[in-house]
Amino acid sequence: MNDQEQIQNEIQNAQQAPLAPNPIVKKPLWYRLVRGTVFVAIAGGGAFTLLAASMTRARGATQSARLKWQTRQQQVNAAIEQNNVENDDIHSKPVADTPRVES
Amino acid sequence: MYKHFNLTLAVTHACNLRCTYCYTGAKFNRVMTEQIGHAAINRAMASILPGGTLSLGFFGGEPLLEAQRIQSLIDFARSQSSHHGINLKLNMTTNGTVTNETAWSIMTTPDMELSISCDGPPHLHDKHRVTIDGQGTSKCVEQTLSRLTSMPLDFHVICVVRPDTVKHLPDTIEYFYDLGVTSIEPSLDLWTSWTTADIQNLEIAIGQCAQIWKRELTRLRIGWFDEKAAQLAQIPMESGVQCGYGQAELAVSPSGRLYPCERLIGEDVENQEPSIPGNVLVGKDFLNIYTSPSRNKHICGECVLSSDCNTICRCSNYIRTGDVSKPDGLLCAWNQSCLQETATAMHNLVQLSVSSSTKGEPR
Repeated sequence: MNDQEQIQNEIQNAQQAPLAPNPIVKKPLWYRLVRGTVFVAIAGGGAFTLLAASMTRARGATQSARLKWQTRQQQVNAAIEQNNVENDDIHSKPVADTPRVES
Repeated sequence: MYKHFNLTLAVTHACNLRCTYCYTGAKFNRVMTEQIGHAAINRAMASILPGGTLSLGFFGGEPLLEAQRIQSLIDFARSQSSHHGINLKLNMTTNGTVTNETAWSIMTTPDMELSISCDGPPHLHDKHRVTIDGQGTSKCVEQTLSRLTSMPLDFHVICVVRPDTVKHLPDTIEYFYDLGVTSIEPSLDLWTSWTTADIQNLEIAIGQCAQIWKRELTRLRIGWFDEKAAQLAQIPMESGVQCGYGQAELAVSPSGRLYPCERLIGEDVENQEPSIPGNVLVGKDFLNIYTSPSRNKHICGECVLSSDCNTICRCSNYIRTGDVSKPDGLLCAWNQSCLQETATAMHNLVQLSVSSSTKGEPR
């Protein structure tokens, strides 16, 4: 069997017997630990700039992925700015449960 | 009217290679005329809001076999975008073997987002990516990559991942990184069969690649993980730029037929499924020309990861199952594995950075 025939067979097999998806019904620990907290946690932890730097060059292979990523990149930049503003606010205000020392 | 429009022009069906896994069917030389190219660009421009963006892509066949035509279409698109007040972004996927002066000029156009197809080290690349007479093309593509990495421009490498190469994916990533490539887009071969054992190998390879991604985070982009990182961070996405599949996303073949995605042009014969009715020469814009169902809620509705899953890509679903709304086990396993490995890598990074930022602080 030559390569082309083998590929054709593979195509037919793939169309005949697709494996079924496997939905996850309970949130895994790794998902609960990270999702939604990553942005803030990374921003607070100092690694945020690393991630942001990595994202700067990121685009997908297909056009839709590329556009999606460009949009996300703009949103990441906006979020970084917002995060910086919020951090400035936090640092400029006394923390409620911390005794304030007047000099 | 759309804010963004993704238009892909398959400028030729011809190709100088005969990759064993090629999904575009029989090879013949059909080139997109200027008339068809101009009509596609004009209709796309007429579908975009002023101030919006046209993302214009060139695909094939091997697009750079028609480098002069591409240059002419770029010139036309620039003049039209300027006239209509629309931003223009360019992209192209090439096999990296056509390097004449015009081709090189297009590849290095400053605002061209360039993707080179390469499957890894010579023994992997030459297994499938061969010339018409069966010769490997790795030497030529490697030269192109070396030349590109020596220049101050960004480009991506797209590497096809198949059951017979998936175990080598981590080595492939390292190979590209050693060559100086900083953006890698692995691409699953969706047209072939994947057994349960193949999928297990894929999951192992994803785990190993995620470790490389974590190690080289600031220097190396791997599409699978960067995208999942953004999803996990819940960076909101505009609904209009998700998988368009005929809405704000369209591919035009050399014959002028319309397709919801460039991967579905195939052999481009009449009444081929799935295609969009009509021809690019008939009509003034691309508004309301096609709709298709989104992912089937009964299949993925109960999955807690569905909001971070790329099985919304109708083209991939169609290729795997013949149903745009129905992903299969490969797409599901790939998404879950990428998500898990990205989350784990990010969690480790967070712990690392939190522990280093608190280290030495007075209690």
